[in-house]
Amino acid sequence: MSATEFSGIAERRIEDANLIRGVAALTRERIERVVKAVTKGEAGARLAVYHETCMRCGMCADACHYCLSHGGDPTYSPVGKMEQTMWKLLRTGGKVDPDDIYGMAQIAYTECNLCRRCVHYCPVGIDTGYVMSMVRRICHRLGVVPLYIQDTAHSHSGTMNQMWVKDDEWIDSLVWQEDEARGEIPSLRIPFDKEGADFLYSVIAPEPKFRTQLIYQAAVIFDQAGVDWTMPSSPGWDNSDMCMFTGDYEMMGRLKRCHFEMAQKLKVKRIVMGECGHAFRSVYDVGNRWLGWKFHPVPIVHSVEFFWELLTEGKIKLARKFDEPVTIHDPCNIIRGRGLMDKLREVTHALCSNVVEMSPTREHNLCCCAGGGVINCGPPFKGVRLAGNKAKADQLAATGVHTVVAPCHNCHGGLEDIIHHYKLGMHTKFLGDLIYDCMEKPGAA
Amino acid sequence: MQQLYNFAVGPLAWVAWAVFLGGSAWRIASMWALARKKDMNAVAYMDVRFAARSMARWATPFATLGWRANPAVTVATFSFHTALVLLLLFAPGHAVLWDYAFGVNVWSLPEGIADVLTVLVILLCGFFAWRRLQLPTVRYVTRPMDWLVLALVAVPVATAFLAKQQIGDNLLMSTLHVLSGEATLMALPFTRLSHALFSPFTRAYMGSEFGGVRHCPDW
Amino acid sequence: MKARRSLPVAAAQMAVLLATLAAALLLLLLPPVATAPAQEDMTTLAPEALAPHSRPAASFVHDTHNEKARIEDCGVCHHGTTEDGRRDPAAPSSEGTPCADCHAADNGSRGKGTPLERAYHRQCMGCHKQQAKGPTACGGCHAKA
Repeated sequence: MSATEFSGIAERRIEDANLIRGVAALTRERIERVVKAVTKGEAGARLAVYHETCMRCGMCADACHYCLSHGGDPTYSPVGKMEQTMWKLLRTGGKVDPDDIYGMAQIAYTECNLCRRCVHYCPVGIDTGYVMSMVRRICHRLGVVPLYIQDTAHSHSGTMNQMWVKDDEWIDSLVWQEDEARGEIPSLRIPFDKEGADFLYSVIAPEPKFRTQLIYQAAVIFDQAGVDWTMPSSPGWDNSDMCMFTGDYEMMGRLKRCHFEMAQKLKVKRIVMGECGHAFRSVYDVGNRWLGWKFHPVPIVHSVEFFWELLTEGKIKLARKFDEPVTIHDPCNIIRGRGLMDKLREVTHALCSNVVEMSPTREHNLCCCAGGGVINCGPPFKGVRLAGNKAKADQLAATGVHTVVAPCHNCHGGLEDIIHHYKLGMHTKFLGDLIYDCMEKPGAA
Repeated sequence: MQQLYNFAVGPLAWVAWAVFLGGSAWRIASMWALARKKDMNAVAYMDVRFAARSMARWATPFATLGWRANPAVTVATFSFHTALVLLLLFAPGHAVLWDYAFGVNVWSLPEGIADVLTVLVILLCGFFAWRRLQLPTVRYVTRPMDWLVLALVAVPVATAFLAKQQIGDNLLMSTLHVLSGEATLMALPFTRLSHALFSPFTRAYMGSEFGGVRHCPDW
Repeated sequence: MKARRSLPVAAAQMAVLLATLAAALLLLLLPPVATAPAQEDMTTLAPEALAPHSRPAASFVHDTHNEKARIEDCGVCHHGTTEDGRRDPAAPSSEGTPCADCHAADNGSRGKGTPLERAYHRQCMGCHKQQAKGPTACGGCHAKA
């Protein structure tokens, strides 16, 4: 039935060791059993109704950066991707070949960032992010998950953090950053396990692993703002969650419980999270639901909102403003996920004298193409992200500025990759980078 | 043929309405029960205020990003559904049947307006068919079900036009109009036409989720 | 706000849609269907009371119809009424009295009694259905000349 000129995923298959191995172990019977178990057992009315009422109008095609970047190729539109995956599984009752699952996994894990921009385009209110997550759930239960992201999921289950960081390495990293920071602020401490602190500061494991200076910066900001904070010395410190993205919800539940319980054990008033999007999604509206919490057992505050508090309450004073023109990238998980677009702008305008908005902007901004676990699928799929986000590259270039404020780790990774690939001559900054650079540091040596 | 017509506007009409109303009630009730059993992680966030806000937005042409990005579809969709509902409820011929059968005097559209709306719906069916055939993003995801539901709208309206304008065998056209209309009525709860039943719920959930949890517009 | 990619597609769609709408609007400009002269006539039923007539007059050739339908009793159609105006088969028939004298044409004012249009439809279609003979679809009676 599908148009012959577009064969879709079959013509762009990418080799991935774990997809190959997983598919090789499949049988049609097992696929059918798992598809039924997920679509009839785990899912219910929501999935069925989405499948039934999606009118195939194609309006969502304009929403998706993959589709825009591939000249409107319908096999990259949100509905085109649902058609090749979940709609096909539901239509056939799961009677598909192992080979089909390969393509479905590749679409679900690497060609959809679950950014939900298409929500703004669908009159009926189909949630493509949910549908693709359910495809991933099926793939996870079939053992067909891209190698690199599966490795991070293994790390989560082995160490309760995403990056195989050992317990002593974590403490070592914090102490190392504390040492470094004391060179600048002699009285600075990173308080471990301080019971009853105002907030627990949690980060994603890539911070101690690759971007350790961010912990240094956060420590300086918190110390100089005079806030009462703490970081845990044992597992529960990592708020990241690749299991949510592989479809390993059982493990996701364990991770979120560990994180919440760490906050409860330390009797903190709330959890402040670093500048990460997916972790916020996991803690704020996904993991909590899996655990049966309608909202959260401990209040959750994203860095953007926390920085906004520090600035509006005057706890941080600025010594100067960042003078170069900047533009603002809106990470899906804290904008479409939490509505922080105004606070992000207030903070950015407080820090920068010249802000150039992208077009489209705010909740309509285009995706970074890294989130949703796509960047975590690793080198085999880097080209997918680069080709799949030419639209973002064009959007960035049109601003004419050289600095992109992006308060999310995945967005940083994704944007840096396309900036480099399309030779845009730009660089990305966290809000923490700007605050650290511009703030008054009364305690500095 | 005359007896078939009498049967169609008589006993079969009762059957069609019964299947439509019973089928719709059953589909909504069973789906809601299933949602309460399996989807509490979505149902729990349903909020009347945010649902209404989202529905009002999406019921307004060009008030959402999707509508603005697709102006032709916006004009077509709004005129199509408005015309269709007006004709269903207020076509002069329909009003006569209500009046005849139940002694209910319903307001009806002036004949000229009804004629124009009828032609409009037929042409818009053509527009939707053209999109399905010509636009890659639509063609790629078009399934037999999509053609079926388009036909389920196009056939009753086209035969209504032919019967009203007295083109072709009038009794045949009238009979086909009533039979196909009843087929559509009965098919509504069990085909993609069920978006008439379910889209208020999907819209309400999206509005509630984005309004109450995500604090972000869903338009 | 709109993506570059969609422009040609959107323009093509808009063009097709505009052609569609223009065709629909043209219909409004067509001359309206001529209404039958509202005269009491032996071949059609087009009571002045229901003017302006929105459909072609219902064809009804009195004598031919009654011969064919074997109706000899005038009271079958020209039914009599009780004192308070209810249909009464036993009462003397009412030929010579225009239907509109008893059946108010104005469907809007809901007085007692059956409005004129409904009275005609029920009289004709009701009998046609009961006898399983004669037209019951709109165009069966309201045929274009």
